[in-house]
Amino acid sequence: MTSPSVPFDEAFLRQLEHLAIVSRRPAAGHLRGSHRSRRTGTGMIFTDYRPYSAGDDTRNLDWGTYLRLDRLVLRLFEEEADLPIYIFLDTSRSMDFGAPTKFDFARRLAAALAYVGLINHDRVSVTAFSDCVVQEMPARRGRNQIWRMLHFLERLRPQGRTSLQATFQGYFSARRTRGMVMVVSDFLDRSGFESAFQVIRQLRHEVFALHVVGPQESDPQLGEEVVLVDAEDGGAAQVRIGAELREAYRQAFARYSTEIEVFCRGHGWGYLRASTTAPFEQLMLRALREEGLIR
Amino acid sequence: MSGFEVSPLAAGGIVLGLLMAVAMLYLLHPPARRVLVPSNLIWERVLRAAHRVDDRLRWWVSLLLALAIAGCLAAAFLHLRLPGAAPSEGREVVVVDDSLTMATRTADGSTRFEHARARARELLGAMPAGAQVMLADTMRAIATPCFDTPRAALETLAGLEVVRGTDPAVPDLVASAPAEKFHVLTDGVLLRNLPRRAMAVSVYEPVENVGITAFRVRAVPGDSGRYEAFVEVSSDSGASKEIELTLSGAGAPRVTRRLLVPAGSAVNREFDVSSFVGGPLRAALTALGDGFVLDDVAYGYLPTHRALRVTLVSDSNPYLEKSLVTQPRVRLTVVPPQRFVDRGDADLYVFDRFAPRQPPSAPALLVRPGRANWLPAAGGELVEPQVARWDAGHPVLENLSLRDLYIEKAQPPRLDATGEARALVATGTGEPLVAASDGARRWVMLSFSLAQSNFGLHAGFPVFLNNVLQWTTDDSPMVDAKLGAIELPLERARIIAMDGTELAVQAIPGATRFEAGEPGVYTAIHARGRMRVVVNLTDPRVTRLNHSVLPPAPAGTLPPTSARPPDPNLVLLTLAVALLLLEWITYNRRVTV
Repeated sequence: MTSPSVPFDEAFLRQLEHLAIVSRRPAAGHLRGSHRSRRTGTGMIFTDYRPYSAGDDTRNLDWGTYLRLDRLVLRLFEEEADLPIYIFLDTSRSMDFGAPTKFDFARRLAAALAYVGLINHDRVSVTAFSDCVVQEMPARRGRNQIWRMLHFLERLRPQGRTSLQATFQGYFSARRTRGMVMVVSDFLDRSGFESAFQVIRQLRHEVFALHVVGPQESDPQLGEEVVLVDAEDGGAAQVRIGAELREAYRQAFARYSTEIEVFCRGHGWGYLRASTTAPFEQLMLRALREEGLIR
Repeated sequence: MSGFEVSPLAAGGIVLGLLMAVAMLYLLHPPARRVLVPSNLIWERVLRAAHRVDDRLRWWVSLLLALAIAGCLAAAFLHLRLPGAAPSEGREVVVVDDSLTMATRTADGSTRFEHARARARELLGAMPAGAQVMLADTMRAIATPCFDTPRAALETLAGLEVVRGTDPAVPDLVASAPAEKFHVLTDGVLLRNLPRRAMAVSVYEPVENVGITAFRVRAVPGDSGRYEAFVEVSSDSGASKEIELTLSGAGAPRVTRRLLVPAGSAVNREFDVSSFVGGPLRAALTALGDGFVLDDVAYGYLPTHRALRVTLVSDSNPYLEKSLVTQPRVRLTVVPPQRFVDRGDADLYVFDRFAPRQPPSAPALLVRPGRANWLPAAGGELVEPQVARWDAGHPVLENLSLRDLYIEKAQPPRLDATGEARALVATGTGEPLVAASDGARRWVMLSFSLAQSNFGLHAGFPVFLNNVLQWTTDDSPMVDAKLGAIELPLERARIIAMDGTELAVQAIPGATRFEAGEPGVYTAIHARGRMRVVVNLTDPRVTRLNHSVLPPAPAGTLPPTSARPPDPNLVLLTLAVALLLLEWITYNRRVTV
């Protein structure tokens, strides 16, 4: 972990190793993992009994029941599966603001979450997007994929506009196993976020929205008379910013963030507003845990 | 003047330049800083919600407000500094109308002029002691108006009276005087055109008035012995007025008639004045509640129209006899010298080659008279004397040319330089051929007989006789004049009023000027005779006292202060302050930039 953009120290990595991504739904992975699934098999958690049939694994016979009832009864266990984790990282131009930039912050966040997923043997895929899927790291599993994943993140550069809907439609047009979708973005999408999230919701993925917010967005410190140039589309708007207008902006931004949160929570999804000025370790070790994304 | 002076053109240039500078500052306004932001998504929502006024419109509103403020301030400042305007600060002009209609008596017994003077006194009294005020009048009684202290103006005002003139005007120099305020106190009847900046203080109050607007004495056409007087009476009252019109003169009892003059109209009457012997005629009317008395009297002059009794004392002179008989109004009596007795029943004696021992009781025309003590001594006889010069301006020689006068023999008198007789026609050596005396009894002397000259056959001889009749019987010429200052074309004349008092005159080259304060018949006496001056106020403009251009004044009060136009500087500065306030509000409400 020597990358200047995604630097994690050893102590922090050790702390991450104790974490795991939590899914509120049974995992739909096909490989063995550490997440509960709907399938019964060779797991540790007892679920039910059924009569023995020829060919069943005799190791799961309940010999006590046989002695009492003289019947062969087979014990069933939940099968633990891996969790498909889809991390979507916003690489639009709007992310390239702040110090640190929202992009770097989001990239570190994606790296940390991917790291947690990989060490827990989840299938982690990372997708960089702006107005469409820019670059994709296919699903990887296992601790040894960490370097590949970090290298992938390292090469990303902010570019283009934001289009969540086009991105999700493009990405999920291929068959994907239902899993956990993590969207790390500033959600500054002119087409809105609702229609994009509807795409994911129809596919019954579990979603966790990580709303990356820079201080210049939540509380802009601009001069009296400025021409605001949109970094994504170049559009300009001349405004004279007074206290009244500044307060109106703050309220509008808070309202916009709340709209995203309400939408997510309304669908049983997770939402976390992550300020780039907040300590990253605290975000990972406390905030995400409180939100129930990791444990 | 303190401070700098600018012409109106330069002032306009300064204002324009200032406005252009303001506009330039707006145009040179640095462009807004461009700030790259992640997205305008939220900002656009905010601006939409704030109902943002279009920036261009805000810019224009802001510019217009700034221009208006700058314009107001510049105009207010330059108004104080304009030449002719700068010295006006604290200065006022008070013009009092002292024309004739201001003598109108109002309901409270005071005249309009007295009201005007009282209000002028109030105006002057309200001014601070250090103020500068110019007091002027419309009839130029104040010859040299100038700015002075209110106290001095009050003293001048106290001496101001109504001038008997009907052509008032605000002098141009006064109208253009640099003053902050310009008051004109008038009734607005004769003074109808006021300077544009003048604030009229009305002392007009409607009154009842009936006056004589025309009075003429004239001979009846076709009957030279009869005369009639024409009188026109006009009313400017609100209702019909009953008046009493009286005509009086010498030689006959006065004539009185009652007349009903309808409201706002005129009636006229004719009087047969043949019974009057001649001289001044006076028409006077009496009406109840009449507000103006000067137009209630009018005068005329009735010429002498009786027959002139002329006695010709001569042995035989058919030329002279025929010439005298042909003169109008002459009733001739011919008496031979040996039977001559002065009975005093003649208006003129004509002595032909004869002179009575005693001076006659009537004026005389003497043709080559003999010796008499009351006449200048006769000199030596002249044979074929040549006329070298004659006094064409003398009434006796008026309209005569003596250039081709031939005289065979003449015996000119020796005139004493200190005597009353003087030569009218003289030879080259100064010998008088025709002489005249303007003494107690006038006489005219021809130093030659008609038989020894061609004067009797001369075309101008009847004219000469007529001139002699006119001059010796004193039928003075007459002129009509209006009340007020009168200028007669008579040099060094004396003016005698009807009551015998001599008026003060102003002698100017070739003329005499005097002030006729009352209607009447004045006599101008000058070196060559007399002239009757009939002065009347028969002017319909004056009689129509209620035809004012001003509204009636509230009784006893000055117009309210609010009626006065506000100080333009104050208005401009107030406007500038209001605009600044508006700019501040609009700026804070984001209506302007």
